[in-house]
Amino acid sequence: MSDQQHNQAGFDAGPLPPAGTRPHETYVHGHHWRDRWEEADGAKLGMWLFVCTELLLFAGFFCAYAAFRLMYPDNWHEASRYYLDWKIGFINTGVLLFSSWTIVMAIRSLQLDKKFAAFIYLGITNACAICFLFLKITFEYIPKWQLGKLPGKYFNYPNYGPADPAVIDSTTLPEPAGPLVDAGHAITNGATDMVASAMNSGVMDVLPIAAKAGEEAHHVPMPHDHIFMSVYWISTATHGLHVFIGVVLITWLMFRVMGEHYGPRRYTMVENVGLYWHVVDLIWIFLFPLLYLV
Amino acid sequence: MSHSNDHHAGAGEGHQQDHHLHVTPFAPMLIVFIVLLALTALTVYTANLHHIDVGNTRIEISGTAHILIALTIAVVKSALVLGFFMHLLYDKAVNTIVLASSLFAISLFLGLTLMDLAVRDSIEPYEAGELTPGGTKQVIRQSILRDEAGHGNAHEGEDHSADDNADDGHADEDHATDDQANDM
Repeated sequence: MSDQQHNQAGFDAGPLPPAGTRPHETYVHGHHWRDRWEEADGAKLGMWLFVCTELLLFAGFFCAYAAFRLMYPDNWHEASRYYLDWKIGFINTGVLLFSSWTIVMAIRSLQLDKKFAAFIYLGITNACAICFLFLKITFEYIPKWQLGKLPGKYFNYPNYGPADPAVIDSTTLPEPAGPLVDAGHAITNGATDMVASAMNSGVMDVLPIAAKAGEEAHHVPMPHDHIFMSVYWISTATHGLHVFIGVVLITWLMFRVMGEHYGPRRYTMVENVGLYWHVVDLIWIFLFPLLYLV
Repeated sequence: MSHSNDHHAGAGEGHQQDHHLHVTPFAPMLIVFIVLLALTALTVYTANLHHIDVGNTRIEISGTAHILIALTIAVVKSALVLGFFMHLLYDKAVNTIVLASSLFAISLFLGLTLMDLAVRDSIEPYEAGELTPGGTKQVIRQSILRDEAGHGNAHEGEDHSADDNADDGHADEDHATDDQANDM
């Protein structure tokens, strides 16, 4: 069975060079496996099971996203458009895709016994991961924190304060009597049907708009913005944590590669970290359009 | 010792391939990467596209269509990542089966939840509630703050203090139906 698998076109590059004395060549597979490749397949299957648990973990966030989106479609769309900048998400998508490709190339280099090339590819992957986190924190998390666009009850509505009155923060609580912006003016600035319908029902016509934050004047805060931001924070922060764990793992791999622990006969760990890294990429492939675009 | 162990499987199944070098192909991976980038650009492009002109006919792209387009592109992208980068196309089928079982679980999870939300109204009709930023508690608090500051907008305070005991969760559920009716 494993014969067929490993001898597929594109993968078989002829006979292995004779084994030397480097760690990856003298490595002895577990005695309960028939050979090293069977051991590698077993390890990989275990990694796939872990990958599935990861997908199920994020499925929870996607479910929350879908449920709230179904309940508040317009609020969701407006919040996505207003609070998130697709350009940062777009750059980060490219960065992650590139890093996915470089880790594939790192595996290829090890299979070809090119230690330094593998080291460089892993280094690029790591640099991309750090770049992703840097962009995310600098251009998204910090400004949102400063504007009080925090999850759930910590979300700071202009002139209303945090979504939960129990959260008292005198520094972010605006003046109670902010100037009222003409509701008709707000509508012409791209507010949605939902606001219009809310106004018709006499609910939101007294909605005050923050005057001190100029940009806020063009956005009518919507009743469920704080739920959107909750989903945004929990899903991207969990994803960011995974990126960070990826940085730690890839750094460890770089040391191991320099120690010649991986080569044409043994690269299972690089492959498994690669699988993990692709999952991080995979999750982002869905998070990016869902949070930033639609 | 170790070297001989390497050849231990000589008589076994793994003998033949144990002597072969397995190399990830270069060109397909590069092409897949470029295609992934192109699809990312496409998804951004379509998300900012609000209508298509075919001759004299203008086809508007609705919100639902935007979601479907974005999700379709995301599924294609993830299939490429899974198949090529994650080696599912080259590996044993067992990995694909494991993944498929997890995807099946996810589809049940999401499918049943969304089905519930979508048809809940057909069993028990809802009455639309008020829409207030941060929930009704906020409006009450705001009215108190205004009264204290002496700028009180009297009628606003009265309007909402009636709902004093309404909890946010319940109010949110009430909105759901309204929003769906208006916007879906």
